[in-house]
Amino acid sequence: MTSDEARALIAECLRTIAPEVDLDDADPASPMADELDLDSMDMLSLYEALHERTGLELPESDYQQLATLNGAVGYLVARTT
Amino acid sequence: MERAWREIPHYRLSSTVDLEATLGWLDTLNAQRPPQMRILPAAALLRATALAAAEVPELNGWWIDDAVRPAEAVALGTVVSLRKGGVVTPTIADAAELGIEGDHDGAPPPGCGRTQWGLRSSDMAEASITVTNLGDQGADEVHGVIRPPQVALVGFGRVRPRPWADGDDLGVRRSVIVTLAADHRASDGRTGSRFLHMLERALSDPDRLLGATP
Repeated sequence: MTSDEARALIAECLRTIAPEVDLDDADPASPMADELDLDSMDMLSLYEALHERTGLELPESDYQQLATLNGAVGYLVARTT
Repeated sequence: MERAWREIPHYRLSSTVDLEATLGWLDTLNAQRPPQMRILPAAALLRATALAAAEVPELNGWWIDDAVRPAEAVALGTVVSLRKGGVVTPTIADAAELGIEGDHDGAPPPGCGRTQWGLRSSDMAEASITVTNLGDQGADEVHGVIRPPQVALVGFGRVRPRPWADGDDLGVRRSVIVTLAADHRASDGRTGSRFLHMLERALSDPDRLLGATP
């Protein structure tokens, strides 16, 4: 998966969870929860959707790495190629 | 809301509760589960509140015609902020009878814990007690206003690591500040303290949180 594909996948998953958020408005280096006003249930739904689409386990111990858009993109790219 | 604040004689209590036992248990449990089966810390807080409310009927009910009418079951109202503004307060019926997985026999139901505690807009029954939970991005503590005719409102602030004294030792533990706003006509500080104590006890005992009955 390329960075662009990872970003598109995240955007697609977010559309079902928080349809009104726009990734382009968000600072990709700060936590998505803050940037996009997502609560813990929204974040879990995002991980659930990413797990379904990629098959990755996404353990809780990796949540820190997945918290920002940049972090999540890097994580997906590193583990799907 | 403003009228409730003016007309109900509120009293307020708070406790800082050690969550290390509960969160450590959830960490272990969730490590073996795919994302859709994981249980959020918020579910543990709601479950513990339901257990405590079941044990303190003076706080679980309604003030009607100058008397407190305890509810027969715990109908747990949960304040949910909408991203576009405003709040909804869906109710979890019979909350004290639900295990943390939301199931009566302890087997993981379809969709599992989070979904069972999930908030359905169809579920708008009158709550017997309400919880407001600020979550991960929130302030340290929240002092809410009772939603009449209810007589109590429980508030959870942000869970974060804090210095913690254990006997003579000082360590760092994840904890949460729990507040109680209650109607002084229906109960007093001693009853409120008992409720917070019950809540703290439930949060120190993962087996009780997991179980389907109190």
